Amino acid sequence: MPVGRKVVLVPAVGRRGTWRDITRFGRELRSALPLLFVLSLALGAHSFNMLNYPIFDQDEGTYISSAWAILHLGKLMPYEYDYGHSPAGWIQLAAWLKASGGYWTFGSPLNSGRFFIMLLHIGSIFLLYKIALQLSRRKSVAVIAGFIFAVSPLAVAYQRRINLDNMMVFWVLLSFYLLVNNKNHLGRVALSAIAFGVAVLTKETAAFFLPVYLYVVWFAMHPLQRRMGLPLWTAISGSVVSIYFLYAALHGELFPAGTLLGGSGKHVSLLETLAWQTGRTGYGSILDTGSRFWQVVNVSWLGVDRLFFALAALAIVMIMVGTVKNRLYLGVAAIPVILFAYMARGGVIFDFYITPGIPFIALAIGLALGLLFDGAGRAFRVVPVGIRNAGVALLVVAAVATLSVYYLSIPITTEVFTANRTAEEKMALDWVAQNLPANTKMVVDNYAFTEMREGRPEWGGKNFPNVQLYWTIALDPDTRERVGIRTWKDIDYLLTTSIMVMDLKREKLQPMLEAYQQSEIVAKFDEVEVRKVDVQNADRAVTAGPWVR
Amino acid sequence: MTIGSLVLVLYFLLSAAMSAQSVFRLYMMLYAWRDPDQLLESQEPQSYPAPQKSFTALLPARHEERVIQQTIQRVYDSIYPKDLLEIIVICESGDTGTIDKVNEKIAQMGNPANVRLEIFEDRPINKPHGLNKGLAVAKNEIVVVFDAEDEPHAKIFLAANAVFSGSDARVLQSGVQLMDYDNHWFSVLNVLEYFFWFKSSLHFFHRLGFVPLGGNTIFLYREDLLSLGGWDEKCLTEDADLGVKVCRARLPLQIIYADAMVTKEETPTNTGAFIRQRTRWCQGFLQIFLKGEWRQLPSLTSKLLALYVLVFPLVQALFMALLPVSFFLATIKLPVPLVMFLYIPLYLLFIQSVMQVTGLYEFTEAHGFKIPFRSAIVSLATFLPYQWLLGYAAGRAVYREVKGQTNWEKTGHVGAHRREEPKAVPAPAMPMPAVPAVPARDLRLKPEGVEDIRVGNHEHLEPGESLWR
Repeated sequence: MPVGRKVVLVPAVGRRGTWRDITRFGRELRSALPLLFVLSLALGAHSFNMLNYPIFDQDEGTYISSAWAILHLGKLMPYEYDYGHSPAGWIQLAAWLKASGGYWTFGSPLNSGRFFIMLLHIGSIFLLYKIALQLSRRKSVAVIAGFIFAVSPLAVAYQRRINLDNMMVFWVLLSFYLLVNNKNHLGRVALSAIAFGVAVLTKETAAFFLPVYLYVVWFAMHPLQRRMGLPLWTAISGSVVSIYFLYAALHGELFPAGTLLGGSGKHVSLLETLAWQTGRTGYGSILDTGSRFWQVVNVSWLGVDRLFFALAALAIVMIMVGTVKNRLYLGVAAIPVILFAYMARGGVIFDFYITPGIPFIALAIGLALGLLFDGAGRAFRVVPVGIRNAGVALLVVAAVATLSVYYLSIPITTEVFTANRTAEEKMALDWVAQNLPANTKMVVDNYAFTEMREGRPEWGGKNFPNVQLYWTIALDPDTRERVGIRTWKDIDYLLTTSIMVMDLKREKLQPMLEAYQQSEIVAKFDEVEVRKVDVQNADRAVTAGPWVR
Repeated sequence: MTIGSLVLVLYFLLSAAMSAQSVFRLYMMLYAWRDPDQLLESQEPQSYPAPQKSFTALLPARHEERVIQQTIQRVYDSIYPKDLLEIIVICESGDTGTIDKVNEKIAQMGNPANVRLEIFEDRPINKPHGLNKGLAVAKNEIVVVFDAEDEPHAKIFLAANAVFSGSDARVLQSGVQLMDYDNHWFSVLNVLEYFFWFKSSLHFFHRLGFVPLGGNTIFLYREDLLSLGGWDEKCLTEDADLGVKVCRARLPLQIIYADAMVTKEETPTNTGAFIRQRTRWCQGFLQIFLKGEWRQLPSLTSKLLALYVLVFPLVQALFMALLPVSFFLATIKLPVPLVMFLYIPLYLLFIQSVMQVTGLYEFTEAHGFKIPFRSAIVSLATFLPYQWLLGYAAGRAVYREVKGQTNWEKTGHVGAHRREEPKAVPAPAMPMPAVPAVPARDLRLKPEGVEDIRVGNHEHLEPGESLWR
């Protein structure tokens, strides 16, 4: 009999175990719901209409063509690598193109790039959520930070572009996450250092965050580990970044030509380029309200989302005060501050430079609200739970309603999900493929380069090996010589966008400007024009006087 | 395939191995810091349990007349009940100088019952033999070894008592630390080797199941030692050999390294002494390797670790010798990604050297020394020369092993040298094949005007050398 009892008991225990497993799974799912909510929101906000908006711009074309050059030519750029940016960003792109099955898996190389950026963005959202949770110990703060980063108008406006800043954000956040969540593991600190190094190699501006990161390394670590951890972090991230300099040195391109260490032969130089970039001023000082900085601030940022910046300023001040609660808050607040200080220095500035600041501002707003929640929790301690919950629910509803109205009043937020800006770009390429011979000598906007060189599958094997990028043709005489574009007459066709035309005119990019002036439109797709360079006409012009050449 | 490309492929593989080894080494160096709780545990305890265990301290001494008296006094003065503490000084009968000093000291102390001198006459005259003699007459439950020039901490027995009465540990290794980081050009890196070895790497080894024990401040139950057969008198590094035996027998082992409680020692007196010391360690490890007992270690991991530790000096020597090749390869025309790959070991060495400087600051702060700015520079400047020196010693060890210059019994002339030794000069600790003339190692005790006198034979030992790194 006792044996029989045992036999009965065993499955009973088993059943209970199974039930326990189910309920535990349910609990875990419930606790993961806020994260899943933020991730799906981010996925929706990022991916909906992602291939149609915004227009594939020059930078996107440049980085995709550089990734193509890695895979296709075994070089870092289609032409000579000029150290304009460190190449880690498009090395990642190339790896993604390779891993995701080539250029056409998502319809085009540019589409593939957008998908890659989407994955990084989802990763960034996850990291930001975890960072916020770690710093505040409140899921509400994590949800708020993730929410702002996912749907705020500026974020959705910039986060889809295949540019280096969007890639850098992921690495910067990964490094930050590994620090604040180091679990007393030196290994995590070492990984954080590698991530920071990759961030700097992806976009050099990450280097300006270094002081903040050193601060975070120190205070995120256990006091007994700090003294080992800080030098370890610094040495590893420094080593990773120095790979770039090693690369230049091995090519004999570290020091400028004509210097003692640079040799006498003509060549590009990493240090020369860096010096040129840091010295690129003349865009007006911060004191001058007409400067480029204030233009960008007023038009591109405040003009789009004033609320975001108002909240940002408030939150940054609040969490700086909140540093007494958690020292790492200062690190969060310092990143947007440093970013703005960098942008206000009077150098070159573009609207998307705000990108790396957005997640940290979102985090700052979340943390500041967390501080408010703490205060409110204490103040309303005596109020019965039921009334408190009702009050919170009311506040949430009011906030969501107000924000929704505000959100929908911003034009860009509807545009992002409805406009189609890339269709004409694609149509122009298809027109060229159908109407022009493969050996056409063409100078094009950057977006068109990779697809034309590679040839879309539906073109039946047709591609355009003589397609060139206009910036390089304009700036590099050696390339002009090599590809046989010595004068504007050597160009058969131009494929222009409004941006390209603006560049040609403003920077007087020859021989394209001349070709442009001697050309006629043969096909027009909104802003994209296919232009035939009219040599007949031009010959008449030449006879009119030798100065035309 | 041309010879050139074959060399390149070989070098590529070697570079990969060097990188892997460097990462492994970095991991070993930093292992102790990975877990703050463990760091806290290894700090000096705030309180100690009541003394229960009885200890016998073995003090093998040879030509230590200048330091032995202070060492006896120091061990005797340890904070521990005298009836639970026995001190046995072991001397060879021909070493009358030390014997006289020991007797004088014992008399001066009023002939306490727990301090004795053990004299032996038989061969070989070396440290393991002396230790075995001491072990044979030891009475207490736990045996501990100190070298004659050691400066053990006053509470070391209290700490050991705490470990043995509070756990099932059968073996305890406490930290040993070289202190004089600014004495010679190689001192700072030598000190740091000890620092990382005892504070960090040993814990890592412990987890993997093989610990090459140090030569002193090592506590074992007497019965365990007897059943293990004591120390191997033919081995040049009997301490590490004991480590193999202990691990093979799966005796529970504990390692403590509290900065305040380390046994303090001094670096070798000069570069020659350093090389000879290192040669002996490498050769000793080689002997243990060839003896093959490590193959009976409990797990595959511990066997692999033993293999790594025992032949490591030779591998390291090879790597360091090849390091300049990387620089050379950078100057000839090779694909840039390949050259960048070949640079990885250099990067890792750079990170290692940064961590060493950091360790130096940790070390000096723990012991209240001044900020070691100059030594930090020295440690960076001597990083590679130091590695090459180790490589040279490793090569020398292999050469001597191949030539059969393996132990003092066979060399025969050892005794003769010992008899011809200049009496005026103090000599190093046992074991002692020949006569190094070495001044006292303890900073406090360092006599004036004593210089290192080289004897034609390189078979002698150096201060603090009962440890491998």
